[in-house]
Amino acid sequence: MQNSSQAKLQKGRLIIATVLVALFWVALEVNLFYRQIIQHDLFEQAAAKQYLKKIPLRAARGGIYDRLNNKLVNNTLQYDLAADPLIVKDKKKLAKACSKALHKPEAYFKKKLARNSRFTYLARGVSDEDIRDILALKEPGLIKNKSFRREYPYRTYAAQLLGFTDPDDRGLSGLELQFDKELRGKDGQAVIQYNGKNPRRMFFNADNPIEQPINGSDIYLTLDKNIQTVAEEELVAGIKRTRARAGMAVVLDPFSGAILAMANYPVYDPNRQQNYKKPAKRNRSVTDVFEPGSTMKIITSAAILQEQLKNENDIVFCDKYELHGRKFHDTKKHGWLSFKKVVALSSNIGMLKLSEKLPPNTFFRYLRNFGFGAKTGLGLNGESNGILENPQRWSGITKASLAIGYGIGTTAIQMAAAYAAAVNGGYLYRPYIVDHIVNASGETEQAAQPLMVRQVISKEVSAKLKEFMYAAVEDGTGKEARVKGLMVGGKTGTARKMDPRTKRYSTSKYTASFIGFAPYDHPQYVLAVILDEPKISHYGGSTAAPVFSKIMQRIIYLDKRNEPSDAQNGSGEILVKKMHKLPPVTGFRIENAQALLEAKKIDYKTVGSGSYVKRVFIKEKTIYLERGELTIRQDKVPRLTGLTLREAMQKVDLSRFRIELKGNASGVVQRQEPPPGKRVHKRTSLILVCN
Amino acid sequence: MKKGRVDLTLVIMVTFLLTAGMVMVFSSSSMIAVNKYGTLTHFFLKQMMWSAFALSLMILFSNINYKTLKKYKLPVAGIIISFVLLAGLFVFGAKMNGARRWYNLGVGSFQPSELAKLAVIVYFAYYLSSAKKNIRDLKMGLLPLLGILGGLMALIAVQPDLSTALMLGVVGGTLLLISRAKISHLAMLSLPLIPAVILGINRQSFRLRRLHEWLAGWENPLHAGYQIKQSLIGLGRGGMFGQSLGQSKQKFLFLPDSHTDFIFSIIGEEWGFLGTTLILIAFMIIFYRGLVIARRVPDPFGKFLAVGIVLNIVAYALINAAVVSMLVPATGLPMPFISYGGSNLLFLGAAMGILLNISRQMTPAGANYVDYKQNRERYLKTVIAAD
Repeated sequence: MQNSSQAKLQKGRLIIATVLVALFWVALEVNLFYRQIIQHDLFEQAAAKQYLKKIPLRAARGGIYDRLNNKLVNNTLQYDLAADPLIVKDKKKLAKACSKALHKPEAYFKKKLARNSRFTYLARGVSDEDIRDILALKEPGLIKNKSFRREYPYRTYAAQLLGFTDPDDRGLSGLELQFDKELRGKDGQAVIQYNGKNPRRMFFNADNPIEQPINGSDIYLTLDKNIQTVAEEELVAGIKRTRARAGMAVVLDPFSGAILAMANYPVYDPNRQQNYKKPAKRNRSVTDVFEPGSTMKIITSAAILQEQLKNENDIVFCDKYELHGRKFHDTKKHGWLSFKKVVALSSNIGMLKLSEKLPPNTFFRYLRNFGFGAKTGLGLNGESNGILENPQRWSGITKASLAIGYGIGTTAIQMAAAYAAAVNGGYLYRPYIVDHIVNASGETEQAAQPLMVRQVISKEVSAKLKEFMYAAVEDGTGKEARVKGLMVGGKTGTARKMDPRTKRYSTSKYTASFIGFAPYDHPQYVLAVILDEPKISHYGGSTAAPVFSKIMQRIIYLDKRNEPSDAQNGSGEILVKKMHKLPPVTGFRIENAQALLEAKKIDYKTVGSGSYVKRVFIKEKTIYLERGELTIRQDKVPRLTGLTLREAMQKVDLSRFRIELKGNASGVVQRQEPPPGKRVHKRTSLILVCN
Repeated sequence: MKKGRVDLTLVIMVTFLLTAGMVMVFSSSSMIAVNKYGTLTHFFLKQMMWSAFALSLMILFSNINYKTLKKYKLPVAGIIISFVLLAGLFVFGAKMNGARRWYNLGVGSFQPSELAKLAVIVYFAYYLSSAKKNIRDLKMGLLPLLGILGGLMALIAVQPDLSTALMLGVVGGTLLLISRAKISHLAMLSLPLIPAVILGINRQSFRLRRLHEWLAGWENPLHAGYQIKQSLIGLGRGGMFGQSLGQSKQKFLFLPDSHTDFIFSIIGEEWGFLGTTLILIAFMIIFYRGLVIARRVPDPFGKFLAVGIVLNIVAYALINAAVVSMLVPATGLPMPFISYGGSNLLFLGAAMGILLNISRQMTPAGANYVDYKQNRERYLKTVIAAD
């Protein structure tokens, strides 16, 4: 054993070596603990980042449609082209193709492709056509991602109402903003898993199934594309003619509150909204508050008549009027005027005298009832309340000011809604613009119903107000609102604008307006035209009224119900074509209709007597104009109760109804049979019971 | 000669590591196998076969008296064969990934550096335990030994396989350290190695880059070199309990060498900190058993041999784990028993067989150390009686 003693293993040194190994092991365990437990989250994230690539699948933004299902907005399909630089095979070739197709320097793409990342956009928002040559390379590293971009094909059309979106199609204004949640839908996503090495593979994985996008809901408006078009065209033309600063035109269905058109000027193009200033993007019809002036006289008259303080035939002497030291003026001295004439000629003094007996609280109540001083409930963002002070805060002349439309702030939509109530028999309807919303699976999500808020005035008063408005158009301040061959009513408004600096009414700046309705018997449209600071004249009668006339003239026959509709009487396609060529003449004065047909070289025969065209029909290939007194073609029984027999007879189309009278012929119709609104298909007897 | 029982703890640990290795090779190589060969089990089946061979070799060697290894000039023969085979690589070696490390034998490849490792351990044990060689003599004892070691290291380093060469140096150096060699000699000789290593690293730009990447990794692990970053992501994803078996995502071609040098990362990913710790503990147990055997075995040759064998295993295991967890700069070393690889497994099997044989050898009193430990009193009496 001795010989090996010198060759023995050195225990001490072995212990040192062992301790070193053990220390190394401890250090290793500490390091592992640090990496695996403390830095776990860091690596987990880094891992997810390299395994998974989330690719959004864009939901198509919902459409906005008018009431005739015309699409008012478009989604253009476009592509985001991206690349995974680590997969791209031929970077040079791809960069070259991109440079050629996308008109950017080759170096720009080379730089992008040189990145050590999994994803880089080459181009965003390009059309399929643009990148066709690039896709033709069949480059495996290319990623083509579909997306949509909002487009407004009619550009400035209803732009303030529709609003616009940002480049990522998020609503920024108007309906686009207000219904952004509904319109946007829900983007889906696909998760692509990668492996780590060439050949790289991408695969979808069951842990991350594709989430299909849910497209946005479609919004159907009450807007009528044709009426809106007319309103916009004529508003712009009117503003050009009068050199007004701004303007708005609102068309309302008085029997439901549905808004058929809402035009604003200045206009902007939502496709390039960034190039326009803010005022052009405002939906003035609901946001802008103005003092209405004389158009308010209809509301004042409504209160006076309903409270039975004055009769439409009561007369007042209009020369001057002074209240608490404040002098009120008319444009000229009118002398003795009846109530009706006061409204027709828009006499301030007459109106003030007539309203003297109207208690402030009562007047206030009427104004509130007509919807002033509060949002209409239309449901558009940014709608103004308008301004209407409580009677407690009224000064001595406030009531008088209000009576002629000063000291009150209204919006165009408030005025239109109030006028609708004035002419539809006294019912205030809540205006509305969104008819219904249909989601991606075709279910109707929200549906608006016409909402009658309250009855403000009686039918009788409503009828009288219509007469007043007819008088204003026929022989008052609103003559220029006349529509050839159509009975219309309305009221002019010419309001001095308050200078916000001096707090005094300007002598040169006016708000000119005309608010009216047509047809007379059964108002289909209430149209409010408001011009801000017209230059050629400041009178509503000479600036806004012609715009009203032109719009009404063009929209009245857009409605099929107002068109000649006897095509079914004829036979064969030729007749249909002939009917098609036939200009709408129903309701026209007979001489106008004749002139129109002769100008178009259309042969016709007239039957019956009367000064209006009652009906157009075709019999044995001949066009007949049936003459009659002014009535709207009735296939519904008109409402006659509350009318005198004389009035009732005027309303009835005698070719359709045989009148059978019961009771006192000089009284008022108490009951009628069949009831109003009932449809009739042939000549029917109509029993009227009078007292 | 009466044979004692083998050290069961060692057998259990080796079996555990081999089994874990097979499972993990299957999990970590499946994607690479599909990608390269279109079948999930390409590497797994081979590893099963090699493991079986390794176990057979282990059994075979555990039945051959380790003392035979120092007879018939076997240690010298081993060294000479190693030199020849390593040199032969220049001519006959199969070039793979820019390195000539293997002989292609058709059925598999053979890596002579694995043989060299075992040969160095055996030769060192023989040389250091020999009474004729005086290791304390610089010229006649230490330098010739270092010459042999340096020569083999040089041949391996030029393959190039610097990691294996360095590991050979570590194992050989440690054996010298625990021998009677003079510390002053060792210090004197190893000092010039430091500039040599620095020069070697500087000459090879990729090594320098790896070093830079390693330093960057300490700043922010996500800025480390690609492979190390992926390795850390794998470990880090594992957390405490891991993603469970087969759930590694790093094996989807993210982590290169996921079934060989970096399999420990996949273990960490699938089995978490518990799994990595368990594996390391198994190695530490092997190390401990090796030291116990070295203490029990009577002859210095056996002592050096046992220490050399376990040192080789534990050094590889710890440094591999350190590389994978970025404790030391990246270098390509297999994890013993676990990493995929034929030659490595076979020589490990042989080495373990030798160690097991040492463990079953009789003490001077005629008992193997296991029996001796269990019946200490009786043996002690016998020893006294025999003397």
